Amino acid sequence: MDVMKRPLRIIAATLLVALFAASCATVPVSQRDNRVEALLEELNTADITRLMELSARPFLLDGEILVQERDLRTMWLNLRDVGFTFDSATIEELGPVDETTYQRFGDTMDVRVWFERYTAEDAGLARVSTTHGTFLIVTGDREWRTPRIFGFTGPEEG
Amino acid sequence: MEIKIRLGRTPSALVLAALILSWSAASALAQDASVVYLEGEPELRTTQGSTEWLDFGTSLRAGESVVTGRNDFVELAYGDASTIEVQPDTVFTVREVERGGERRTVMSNSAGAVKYRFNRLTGRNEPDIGTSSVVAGVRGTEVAVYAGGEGSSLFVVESGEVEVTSAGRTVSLTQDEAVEVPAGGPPGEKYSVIGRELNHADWNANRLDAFLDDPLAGLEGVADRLEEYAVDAAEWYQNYLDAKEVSDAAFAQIGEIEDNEERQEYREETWQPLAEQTGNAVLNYRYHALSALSLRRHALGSMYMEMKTRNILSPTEEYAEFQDRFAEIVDAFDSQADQYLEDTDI
Repeated sequence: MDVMKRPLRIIAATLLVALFAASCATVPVSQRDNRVEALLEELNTADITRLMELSARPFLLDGEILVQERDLRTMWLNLRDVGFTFDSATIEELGPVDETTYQRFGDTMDVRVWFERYTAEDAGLARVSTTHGTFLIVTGDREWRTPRIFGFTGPEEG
Repeated sequence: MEIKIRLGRTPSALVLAALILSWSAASALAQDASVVYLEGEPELRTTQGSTEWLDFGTSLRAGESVVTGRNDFVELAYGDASTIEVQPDTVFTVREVERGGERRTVMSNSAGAVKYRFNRLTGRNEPDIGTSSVVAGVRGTEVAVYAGGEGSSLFVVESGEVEVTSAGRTVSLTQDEAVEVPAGGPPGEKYSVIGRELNHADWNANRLDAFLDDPLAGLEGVADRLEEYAVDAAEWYQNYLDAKEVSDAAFAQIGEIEDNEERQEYREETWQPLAEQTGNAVLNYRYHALSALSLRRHALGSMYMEMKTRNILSPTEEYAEFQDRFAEIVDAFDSQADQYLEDTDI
């Protein structure tokens, strides 16, 4: 009996591996918990060159669209200067961006069009709690195995 | 502009709309502005809202922008003997506007610095130049235009003449003279630049310091200029509606005329000027709305970024006041200029 069971176990294991691989293939990097955690870790520790590589342009900061490389660079440098990081980040929510997501950043033409035109096809939205409050972060695309940040808003009030 | 049009007796409204748009749509400039040299990876922002890498030989069309990063530089040849140097970290845009019955090219940088060298032979075809908050007329000029991150502007003349007008005051500059213009305010006193080393980075850093000393005052200047743009856009939009009504009526009249020759004469002498007037009104309300958008994006947006990132951990009372006033200004912008903008403008 054991001789008969062994091939079945191998087949079952192979199927499980295939299923896992298929599920990985269907969930974009930008919407996977461990990959977004890796992004947050890099955002907290990387130098400015790496931060710029991980940041998409135009970038959405709350309801403001930052078009220029200079503004984006200044944003990260200022945040570093004041000691801001997404410290002790816990992902509370992670999923794809949909047609109503923009309202969580601001109900304006700028924000609506930014979500329609400038987010990635695999755009994700992460709600992240940190020691500095809770933030919404738009992810998408990727740099090797790390998703890029397209924008963020927060900390949430209340 | 000469346009020959052949229409049937009962032309459709769609044809009419297309013709009006043809007078106001993005077009080749009066003189070609094309890339002759570049460094780095500068971008071209098209009228369709897409971004492409800029390349040698690219000719700018009205409504398009060159965007440079910190390691980028672009030189454009304008006409036969004029040059435009787009410095790093700059947003340079070419637009068209109708003034006094003729189309004028307006070149502006809403961020960063641009250096112009216009040959005297360019004459009446010299464009107007400026930033997103102020425009100047030039004659046979070498001039540098700096745009501050908080909406102010600096004009530095190396040769020729420049007339800078803002908030009802005009200052004329000649060789080695400069003038600074705060957003929404009149030009300051002109001064000599002989013996002074001026560069955009230092000047912009000083402007940022001044803004951070009194952020609310900085906001008010931009708010005033945005309001002016909104008023101008609304006025030209009303002109467009009025002109279109008259033009539509004239267009309908064409179908009523039996005689072919008489109909053709009516088209050319009555309807076409009305349609062109309608197109110019579209061009002008769009010009003011897009100028407002540039100021909102590159000055107001930068101000917000600076304040937000400096105050994110310990918001001060001053920051709270800034946030409140900022929200009011953005709300006003959304309710005014947004109605004249299209998604591709964003």
